[in-house]
Amino acid sequence: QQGVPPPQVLSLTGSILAANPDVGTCWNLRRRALVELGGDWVPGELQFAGSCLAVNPKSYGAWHHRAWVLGRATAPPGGREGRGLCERLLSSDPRNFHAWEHRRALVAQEDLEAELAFAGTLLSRDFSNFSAWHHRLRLLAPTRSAVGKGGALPPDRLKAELELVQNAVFTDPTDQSAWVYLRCILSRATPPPRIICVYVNREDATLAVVFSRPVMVNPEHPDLSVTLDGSALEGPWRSGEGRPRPSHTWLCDLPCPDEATSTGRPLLQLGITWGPDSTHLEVTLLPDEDEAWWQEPVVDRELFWPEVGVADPQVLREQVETCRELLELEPQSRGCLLSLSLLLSALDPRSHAQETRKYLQHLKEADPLRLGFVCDVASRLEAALGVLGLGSGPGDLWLRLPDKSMTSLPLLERMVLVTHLDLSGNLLRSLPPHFAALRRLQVLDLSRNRLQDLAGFPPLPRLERIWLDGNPVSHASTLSPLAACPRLAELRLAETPLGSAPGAAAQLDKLLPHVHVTL
Amino acid sequence: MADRLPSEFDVVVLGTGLPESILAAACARSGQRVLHVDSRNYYGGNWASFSFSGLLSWIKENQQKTDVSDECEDWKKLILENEEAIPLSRKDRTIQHVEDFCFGDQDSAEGVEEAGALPKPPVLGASGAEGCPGAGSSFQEPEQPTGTEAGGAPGGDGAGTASGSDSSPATAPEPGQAETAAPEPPGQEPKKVTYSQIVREGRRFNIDLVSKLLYSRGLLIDLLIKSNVSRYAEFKNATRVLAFREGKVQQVPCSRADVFNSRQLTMVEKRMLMKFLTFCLDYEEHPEEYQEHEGSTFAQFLQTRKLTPSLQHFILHSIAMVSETECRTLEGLQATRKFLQCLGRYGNTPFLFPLYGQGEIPQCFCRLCAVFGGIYCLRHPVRGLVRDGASGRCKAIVDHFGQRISAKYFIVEDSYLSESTCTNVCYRQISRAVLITDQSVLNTDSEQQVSILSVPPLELGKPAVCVIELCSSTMTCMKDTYLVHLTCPSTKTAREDLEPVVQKLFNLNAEKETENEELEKPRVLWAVYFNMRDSSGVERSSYDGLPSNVYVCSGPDSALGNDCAVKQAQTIFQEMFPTEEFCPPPPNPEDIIYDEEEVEPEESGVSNSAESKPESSAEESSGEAGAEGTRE
Repeated sequence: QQGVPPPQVLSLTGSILAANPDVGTCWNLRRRALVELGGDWVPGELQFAGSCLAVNPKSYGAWHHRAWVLGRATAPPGGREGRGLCERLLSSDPRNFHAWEHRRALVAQEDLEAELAFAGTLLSRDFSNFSAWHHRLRLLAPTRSAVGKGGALPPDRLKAELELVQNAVFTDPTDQSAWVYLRCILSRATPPPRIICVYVNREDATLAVVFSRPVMVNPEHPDLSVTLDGSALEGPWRSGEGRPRPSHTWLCDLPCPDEATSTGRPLLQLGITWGPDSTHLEVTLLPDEDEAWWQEPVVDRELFWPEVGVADPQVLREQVETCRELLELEPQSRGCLLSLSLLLSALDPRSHAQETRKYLQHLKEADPLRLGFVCDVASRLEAALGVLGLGSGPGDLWLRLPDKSMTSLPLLERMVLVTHLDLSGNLLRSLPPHFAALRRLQVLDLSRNRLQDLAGFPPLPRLERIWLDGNPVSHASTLSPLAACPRLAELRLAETPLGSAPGAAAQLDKLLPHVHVTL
Repeated sequence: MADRLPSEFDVVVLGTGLPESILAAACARSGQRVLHVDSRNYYGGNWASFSFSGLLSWIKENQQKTDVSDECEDWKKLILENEEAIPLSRKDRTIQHVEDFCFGDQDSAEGVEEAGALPKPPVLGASGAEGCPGAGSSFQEPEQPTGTEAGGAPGGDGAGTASGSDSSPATAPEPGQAETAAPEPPGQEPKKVTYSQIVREGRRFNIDLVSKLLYSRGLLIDLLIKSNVSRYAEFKNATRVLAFREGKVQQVPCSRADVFNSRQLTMVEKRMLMKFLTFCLDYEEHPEEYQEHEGSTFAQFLQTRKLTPSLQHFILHSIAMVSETECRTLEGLQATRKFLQCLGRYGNTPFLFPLYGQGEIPQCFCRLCAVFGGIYCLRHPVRGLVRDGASGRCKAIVDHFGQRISAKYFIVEDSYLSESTCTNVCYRQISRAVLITDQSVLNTDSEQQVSILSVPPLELGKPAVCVIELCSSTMTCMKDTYLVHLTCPSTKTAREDLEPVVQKLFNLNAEKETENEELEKPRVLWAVYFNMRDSSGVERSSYDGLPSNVYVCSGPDSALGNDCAVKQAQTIFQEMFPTEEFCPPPPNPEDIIYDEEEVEPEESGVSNSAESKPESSAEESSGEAGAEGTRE
């Protein structure tokens, strides 16, 4: 390879790629030869990549080569040529996502209305075109500066878009693309992560900061800073799960009280600052208290579908009416059932709870292929309803979610203060690592679920009792994460395979020496 | 005509209409020696398309009805003793009640000549008159306006150039392309087209005698593709389906994209329409939905389906295109399904229209026939058939030169049969009208629309009228005009049948200033009405005394599609050659090994080669009008 002169490499790779533009090696050789060759080969190469795209319009290699060539061009050719190519490719296949992507790159700063009209034209030919809908969405996306505020669409524009969606869903409610677009256009801004709860416990000597979404806190240069009585705490920060990954919960150890004052219970004044949005919170732990917290009040509509927060409730209500109308005609429409459930829960989850449950139940029947997804949506609804019913304040806090057919456990970050959690009789197969957020949890009832193990179960500082009766737990070793829970005193394993296995008691005694196990 | 035809063939075909042409092609394709003659000087018979002046001479001819009653008995001398003569008709009785009207200053057109008209005596006949199917490249010539005054000929794609029908919508020449050079006196409103302009631009017209569209999953399309005849023609998608309701022309949303884009339907209507159409696509799988309505009419069934009145109208008249009073539920469902199945193959409507007119299609099949050795003679009347006394089979024909040509099979178009043969035949009639108008019945952003409109009966007991409006980019009319075809089964004369509909849709008061409403309607510049005989559906047994090896093809039927002609051709072919395949795909030209003798006449298109095949190019029969004339 080394000895071959670049022109020969070009002609050889050229003939191979012209026949099959998906040979990555050839593209790489070609690029190396081009660099070696020098001179102005940009127009020629653009043309060559274009001709390869005629062979396979979705050739990743050819598109990549094009991008590479354009990146090397000293004066990139005007958008006209590139747009011509895109238009040609899109007219032969209006769903060629490469061409759409390329088009987006070309017209980044150009006329918004013209682009919307272009996407509109292709939709009017065939609206089952995710790419065209997506193109619209990207054009209408909030600009970078408005991120966070979630810049709502101008009412006229929103109305036009919703009309487009309605046309599509009434024409063909089984087509998913318009339903997806509807949900996207309504949920325009994912709110940035923010602190929703701070919890400090004297006994554990730990400060827990819980975020609305998983965040990464760099232990070296944390965006999160904390002061204790005015002086900065060094950290380090660790995630609730103990892994250096984005997490809802970040923990910081408080300095051990000095030997001299160990009997004393000093007042602790904590100041927490979150860099990205400059939030500053103060939490005071009084001398006669063991724990202290700050919690953001829960907003109904943000709980179930946080992204929809900026939409005008009036618009949502109109959409609900449209969906109800369509549902009357098409009781089995999956997109309609799902959108309606989301909309109702976003408007007011509590007063629509029964109706939403009904729609989700229909959806489970209408869409058996996505049963898991629907069950997760239903689980989220149940969890949200539970959180909304949650009290607050000192003392025990009960959250009862028994027999709710839950398959997953979302919104744990909103359950930081719960002391007693009843999840019995659900369909849980695994426990999420976000359990780490439950800093106060003392009693966890998981009986009659589908748990085979407790993989990933984080060490909960205050967990005393855990009930696993009626789960298919069969090996003692799978319960090993429990060993890290310092206060665990009681474990129930009745009616489990492990419970009836010989030698189980001995194994468990070895694994969890201080725990009273009921088999 | 110096050379005589060979005296022996396998198959002799009389008439160049669609079924005959398909049969001729099928026979030649399966190796038969085919002689295909037509007594007219143009291809297509009643399936032909004419330029404007060609149509005027056709009208004149049919209005005068000169009696050719010179029953020349000379030819019967050629009949041998044990043979019997079956005379054929010498005149065409299929067209009646021809009435033409000009709604403009006709006098001003005196002396105006058609651009590019030949100085020679009028061969002005059909657009295809000069087309020689066997003559290679010259085939495309007749369609190109050769006139120098008319300016540039339309872009290289003449009628003859190949383009698979699959790609037709994309390759259809853009209107502007062909018309840019058209002369337009500066300062004149482009919309105002006068009669003299029509005459001058007469060659831009290709006016069909029979108005049809091709169902994009119909038998004809399948045949065109299978036999590869499609490469001889180009097509354009009908762009919209219209309805006439409460005195207004509306566009019918019939495809998914139409429904999505429609502004006239409410959301609920959209859903109901889509729901019903989806049901129709596989109605057989849901018998419970229609079983209890099988006894009632389709219109009554639609009423039970929660469809609004306008949707019912759209489905009944524009999609199923069936009768409100007669059509049963099942028929209606079938018709709807046929429409829907044809959607989306080539575009958003189920129909295709052949560029340069319906008359192209028979010629395309003639060309295939000629490529496989068929011999063509236009203007070649045949005096009669010769029946063998012993076997009762037909042995030969005797042509107008008195030449006796024998063959094994004879295919005769119905209009060639004499009155005595057809005494027991009961014919139906088709009412036709052709209008040249100045604007579309429904103006939208695009002027270039091919529309089909089904007008429900204006009074009870009348048939619905099918209206097809063609724009200039179909190469059937000049710029700024529209060619409108109206068709219905006759109850009276064509004018009586169709004029009420014409009055509803168009403005016939050419110059008079009328109230606003009238002004919105398109103005009719010129119109012709005529009745055409519909010989489809005639039982073979009703013809008297035809030998068993004489097969009869019918003229055009009144239906929108061409299925009837294709079916007929296929049935006859299979009766003749039960073991042969019907129009199989032609071999790849590269695989053919030519004999030197065969190659010459077919490829060169000049009839100078072997004496054995003096007419293998049709040039003589059609082109040399002068020579022919002297013979008559």
